[in-house]
Amino acid sequence: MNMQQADPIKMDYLDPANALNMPEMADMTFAMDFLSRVKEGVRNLSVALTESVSPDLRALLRTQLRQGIALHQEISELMIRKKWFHPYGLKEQFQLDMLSLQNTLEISKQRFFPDDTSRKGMFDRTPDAHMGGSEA
Amino acid sequence: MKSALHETLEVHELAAFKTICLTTSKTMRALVSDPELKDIMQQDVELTHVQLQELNSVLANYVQAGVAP
Repeated sequence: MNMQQADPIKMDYLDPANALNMPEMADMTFAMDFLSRVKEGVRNLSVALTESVSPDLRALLRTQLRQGIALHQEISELMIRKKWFHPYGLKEQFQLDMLSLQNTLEISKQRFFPDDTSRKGMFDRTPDAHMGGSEA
Repeated sequence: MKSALHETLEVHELAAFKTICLTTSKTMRALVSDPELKDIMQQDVELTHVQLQELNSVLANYVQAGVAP
């Protein structure tokens, strides 16, 4: 197996020093992902609402839209309180995003699973075997 | 429920998106360590579950009424 890398790894994942603040940084990433999913949900619902005419469907979508907006408020307030999100401080937000970018680049260079992790052959059939998945 | 075909497609799109969201929230919650974030994500899982059930029943009605692909 070729262990040579053109781009040298600065971060050693086996060194406990690099695990410092890792749970907090991970939480920040999960919260950001969550926020953008909720945001996209609100936008999708508004688009669907303006495309629908039936009163029953409009009522349902309106309720779901309200719930989505409430959830968006809750998650963004939490992120602001935790200092994971700085909507009023462009400088802080920029620095934080650059830091996550650098960390993410370092993490993506790690060889976490150098060996083959395929589970193929461990099960008696594939999930799509009944519809001839392997022949498709 | 009276409906037009384009409404079925909109609801279908929303249901597909919400399915991804529910799966993501449910799996990622296991990796979160902050209790407050965990709590909100649990709320999201429960809410999305209900919303997805509602969309599912709407789609089932459309299929029954014949306004589905």
